[in-house]
Amino acid sequence: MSTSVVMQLDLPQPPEKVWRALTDPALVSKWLMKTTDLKPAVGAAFTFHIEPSPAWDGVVQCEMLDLEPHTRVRYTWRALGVDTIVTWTLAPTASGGTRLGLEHSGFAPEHRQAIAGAKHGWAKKISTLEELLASG
Amino acid sequence: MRGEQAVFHALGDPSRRAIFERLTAGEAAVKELAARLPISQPAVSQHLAELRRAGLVSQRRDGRMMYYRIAPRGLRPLVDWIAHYQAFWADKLARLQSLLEEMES
Repeated sequence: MSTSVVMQLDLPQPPEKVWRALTDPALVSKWLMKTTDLKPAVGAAFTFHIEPSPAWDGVVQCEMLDLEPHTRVRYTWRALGVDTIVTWTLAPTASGGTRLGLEHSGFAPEHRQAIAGAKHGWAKKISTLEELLASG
Repeated sequence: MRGEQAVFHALGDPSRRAIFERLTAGEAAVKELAARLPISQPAVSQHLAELRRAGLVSQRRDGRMMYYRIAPRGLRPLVDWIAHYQAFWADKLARLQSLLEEMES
């Protein structure tokens, strides 16, 4: 357990194809959430939508922070007034596929280095705190 | 500020994170915290106030001394946020895999 959501996936498809699925609005709308204005341009604002529910207006407001074709894409993710950051990383695998990484973090990007250094120790601390939470 | 935003904000600062981490080892006074960290006592006090506002730290007065400790329930919004998005992204990544299989080269 860490202070962000981290996932990794090995895909048989090459990075070029995975990149399209992550950045083409028509394709992204098919698996993530509906978007019409997602643009692969740093600084561009865009939104994701789902059906609103009583608990949520169904809107995620985003801004493209960082973009390296076939390698990395990072955007802000603001839902219910909470600002977070989504980072996708793509790396080719020996078999011609893609190792896809996802990190969804609540910390601002300027603190990322500090987080990387702190992460190991934190995983342990947080699990201790989780035990405390569970017991209290 | 929603709970998780307050926690992200409070822990987004490296000094506050260091103070919080130190407090996971046990209760401490401002003086002890400042002695172990490269920040002044007034700065430690300000960071502690921020951590208290986020519900991450509680204080206890003993005579003229104030002691600070972790408030474990303060991390609940963060734990909930992580659980929510872990399920959300697991579902979305499964859909991404299906889409990639359907896509023409």
